[in-house]
Amino acid sequence: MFQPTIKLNRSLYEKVKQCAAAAGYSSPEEFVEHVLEREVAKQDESVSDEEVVKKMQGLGYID
Amino acid sequence: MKWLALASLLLLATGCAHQTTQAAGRRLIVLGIDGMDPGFLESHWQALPNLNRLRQQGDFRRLATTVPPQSPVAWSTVATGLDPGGHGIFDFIHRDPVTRQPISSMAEATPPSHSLHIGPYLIPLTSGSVQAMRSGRTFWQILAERRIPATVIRIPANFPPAECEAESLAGMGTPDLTGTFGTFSFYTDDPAEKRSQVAGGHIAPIHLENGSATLQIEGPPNSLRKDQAQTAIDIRMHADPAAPVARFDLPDEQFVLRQGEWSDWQRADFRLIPGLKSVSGIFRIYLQQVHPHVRVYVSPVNIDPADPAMPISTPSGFSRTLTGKLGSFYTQGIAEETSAFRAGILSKDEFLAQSRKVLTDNLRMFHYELGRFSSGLLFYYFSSIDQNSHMLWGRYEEDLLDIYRQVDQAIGDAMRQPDTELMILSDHGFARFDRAVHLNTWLMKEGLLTLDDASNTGDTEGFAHVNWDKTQAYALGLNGIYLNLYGRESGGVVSLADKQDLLDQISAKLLEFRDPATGEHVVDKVYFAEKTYQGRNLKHAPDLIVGFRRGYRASWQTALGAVPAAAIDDNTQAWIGDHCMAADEVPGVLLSNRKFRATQPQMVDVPATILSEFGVPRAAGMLGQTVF
Amino acid sequence: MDSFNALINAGLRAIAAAFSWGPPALSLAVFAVLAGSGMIWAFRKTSDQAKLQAVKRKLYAYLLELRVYSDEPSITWRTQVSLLRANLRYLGLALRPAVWIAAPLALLMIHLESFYSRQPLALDSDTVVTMRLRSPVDGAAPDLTLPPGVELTAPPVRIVSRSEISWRIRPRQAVSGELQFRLGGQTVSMPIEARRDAHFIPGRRVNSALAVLWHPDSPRVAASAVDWIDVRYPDSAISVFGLEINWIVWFLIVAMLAGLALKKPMKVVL
Repeated sequence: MFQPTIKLNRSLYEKVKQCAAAAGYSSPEEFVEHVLEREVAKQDESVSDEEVVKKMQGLGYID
Repeated sequence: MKWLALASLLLLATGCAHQTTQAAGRRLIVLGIDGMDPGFLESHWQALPNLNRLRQQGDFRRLATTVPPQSPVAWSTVATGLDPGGHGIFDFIHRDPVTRQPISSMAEATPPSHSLHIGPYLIPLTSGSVQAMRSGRTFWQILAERRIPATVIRIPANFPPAECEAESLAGMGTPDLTGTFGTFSFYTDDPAEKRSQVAGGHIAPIHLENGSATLQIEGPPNSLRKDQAQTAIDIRMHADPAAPVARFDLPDEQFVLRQGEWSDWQRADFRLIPGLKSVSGIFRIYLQQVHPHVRVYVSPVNIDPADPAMPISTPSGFSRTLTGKLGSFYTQGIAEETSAFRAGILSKDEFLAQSRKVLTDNLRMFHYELGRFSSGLLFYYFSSIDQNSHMLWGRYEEDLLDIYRQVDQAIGDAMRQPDTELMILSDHGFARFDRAVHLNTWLMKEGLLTLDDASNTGDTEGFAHVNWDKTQAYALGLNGIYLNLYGRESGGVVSLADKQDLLDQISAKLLEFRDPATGEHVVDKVYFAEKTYQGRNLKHAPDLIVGFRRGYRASWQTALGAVPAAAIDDNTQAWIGDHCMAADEVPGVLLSNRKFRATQPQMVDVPATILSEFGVPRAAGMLGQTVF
Repeated sequence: MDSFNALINAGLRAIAAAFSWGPPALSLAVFAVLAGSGMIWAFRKTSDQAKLQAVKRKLYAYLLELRVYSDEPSITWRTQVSLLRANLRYLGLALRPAVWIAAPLALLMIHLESFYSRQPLALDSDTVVTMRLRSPVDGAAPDLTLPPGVELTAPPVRIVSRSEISWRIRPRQAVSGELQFRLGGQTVSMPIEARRDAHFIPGRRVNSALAVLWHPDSPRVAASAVDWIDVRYPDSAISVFGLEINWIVWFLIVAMLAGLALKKPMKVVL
C-alpha cells in the first residue's frame, strides 16, 4: 500500500542530497534508508564485529 | 500492405530461427583458472604440454585484470561484463560507512522478519534469506533467457547462485555450514598447545580416558532457538594403546584411520528441534598423530550438497543430482586448507595432500560435466592454482608446477572435445608477498590518522584506538583507503569541498612512499574510484585503490583496521604469494584454440565474447568487446 | 535355541531362494503374504468372533445415532460416551489375538532383518569388524585369518574403554566366507558376504542366550571370552516402483493388504 513518509527540514535535506550523491547512492532516499538501517542494526547487535571477522578469516587473506 | 507485414514477420521469424540454430549447435567451453600466471606459464611451457599446444595452435595473451586484482572483483566482472563500479564489488572486504567495521563483500544474510516464540524456540513465520551483493545480470542468465543451454560450475562471487534456468553451482563465497568462509577444528591432548582460536580455525583440548575421547564438532547456531545456541555432534574417538591407529564412532557411521590417513566424507545431522528439524553437513577427518599425543584435524563442516541448508545451485536440485552421480564433494567456496597450514597445524606436505583432495573432487566433477556436455556453454572453475600459489609461490616451484600439470591435463581433456571452442582465462597472476604494508600506520605517520594515545599502536583490529575527530583517512581491506567523509562516515570530518584535494595529496604521498629497508618504491599506482570506474554503483568503493608494487601487499593487520607501530614489516606467514597489488603487475592469462584479434584483452571482454559466440547481443551497460 | 533358530532360518532361506529370480521386493512380498495370512488365521483362532461382531454392530448403531440425533445435544453426548465405551471394548477384545500374533511376528521380522536390512560389503571399500570381549582388553589383539580376497588395511584397534577390538578390512573380490579369530586357544568364526547376489547377510554373532533372541542369524559364539562379533554392512533399502523404502514398511503394507483381502474368504471379523 502507501509507503510511510518522513519529513526533513529543507537544509538537512539539501545536505543529505549532497552526501548521497558524493557517496554514490542513487537517491537521497536510498542513502537515508541505508544509514537508518545500520543504526537500527546496531541496536539489536545480532552480529558482532568479531563474528564478521571470524566469518571472513577462512578466506586466507586476513589474519 | 497486409502482404508486406506478413513478409516482414516471416523474415523476422527466419532471422530468429537462424540465430537459434546457430546458437543451438555451438559448443563453447570456458575454463576459469584462478591465479594462473602468464610468467609462470612462459617459464614452464615444456612441462605443460596441453597449454603449450593450445598457445601454438590457438593463441595466448596476457589478460588485463580489474582494479583491484582480487578474485571476487575480477570474476564479478567476468560474470556481468560490468566494471567494479557497475557490479559493486571492490574487495574481499567492504566496510560499513557508518560503523567503519568490515563486512563481507559477497553476500548478506537477512533473518526472518516475523517469528513465533514457543518455549525456548523461535519458529520463523517468514523465511530469512541470503542475498548476493553483486549487481548486474550474468552472462548465463542472458543465455538462459535465449534458451541456450549453459552450465556454470563454481564461478566465484555467485553465492547464493543467480536465479535462472541454467545449471549452476556456487563457488568462492559459499560459506561452510557455520556461516564462515571455512573454520576447521583441531583436537589434541598435547598440553603444549595453548591456543584456542587461530585465523580460520579453532583448537579444542581433549581428555583421553582409557584411550577414548569425545570430539565435539560444531554446526550452525540454532536459528530456531532464542539463544541461538551452537548445534553440535559428538564423535567418539578410540585410540589403540600402542599402535598408531584409532576408531571413530559417529552417530550413524564408524571407521578406522591409521595415523596420516584422511576419512571419506562423513555426513552428520545437526538437530535444531529434536525429531523435527535438522540440518545436514559433511566433513572429513584427518588423523595426524596418535602417540604420544592425539592430534585430529576436522575440516570445516561443508553444506551437504545432497540436502543443502542454503541455496548452492540452480536449479535447486542440481547439487543433489551431482551428489547422486559423484558422491559428496566440497561445497565450501575456498576449500584448500591454507588456514591450518598457516597456523602450523598442517605441514606443507599435509596441506598439499588436502589440496590434492580438493582438486580430485573438482576433477571428478569436471570429467562428469565434460562427459555429458552436448551443446551450448560449459563454464568450469578451478581454485587449486590460486590457493597453492599463495602458499608455494617463489619458494616451492616444483610443488606448484605439479598442480599446474594436473590442471594442464584437465585442459588436455577439454581440448579433445570435438568441434568445441575453448577459452581459458585467469583472473590475475601472482607475485611474491615479502613485505606487509601497514597502511593505517603510514596514514598515521603522514598525519592523516590519529590515535587516542600515540602509544596505542598494535594489532588490535577495528580501529579500536582511532580518534575519528582527528582522522582524515583510514585503510581497510586489501587495497582500499577511505576518507573519513562528513555525511557518509558517522562523525566524518572531511568536507566534500576538501575531498579531491585530500585524495590528490594522499595519492602523491603514496607514490613517494619508499620502503625504509630497501629504499624501493612501495606503490606503483594509485587509482581514484570515481575516475577509474565507469559504473556509478560506488556505494562500497574505497576512495583510493592502492596499487602496490610486486612484493608488497596491505598487511594482515591493515585488512581489519589495526594500526601497528611500523609502517612496513616482513611478511612472516606461510602465505608467501599474493596478487592484491597494482593491476598491471599481476595480469591474468587468456588462451584459446582460436586466434585473438584483440591485442590487449581485458576481463570485461570475456562475457562479451561468450555472448557474441552465441549470437546474443550484449546487455545494456556491458562494457567489453569480443576478443575474436 | 541355536537349532530352533537354524530351523527357522533354513525355512526362510528356502523360500527366499525360490524367489531369488525376482527383486528382493518380491520375496519379501511372499513373506508378507504368508505373514498376513497367518495373522488373519491366528486372529480368528484366538479372538471371540461372536463378541467382536456384537461390539462392531453396536459401534455402527452409535454412529448412526450420532447422525440421526445430531441436533439433540443431550443424546449426542450420551452416544459419544457409549461410542467410547464400545471402542474400548473392541480394543479389549482385540488384545488377546494381538498378543498371540505379536510374538511369532516379531520372531519372523527379526529373522527377516538378515535378508533385507543389509547390503553385502562393497568391493574395494573399507569396513569395520568389531569383537567385544567379556573381560578387559589386555595384551595383543586376537589373530584374525581372512578368507582369500579380503585384506586387512589397518592394524587392529584395541579399545580399552569398551573391551572391543576393531579391524579394518577391504574385500578385493566377491567373497562368501568366514573370518577366523583365534584367541586363548579357541577359534571363533564370523561369516562375511561381499557377493552382490548374497540374499542372507547375518548380523551380529553373540554369546549370551538373551542376546541371541535379537541376533538369531548365527549360532551363539562358543568361546567364553567373546561377547559378540559384528561386521558393519551398508544399510539396504527395498526398491518398489522406483522408490527406495525401508523393508519393514513394504513388509507391513503387503501383510496388511493380504490380511484384508483374506478377511472375507476366511470369514473373519476384524
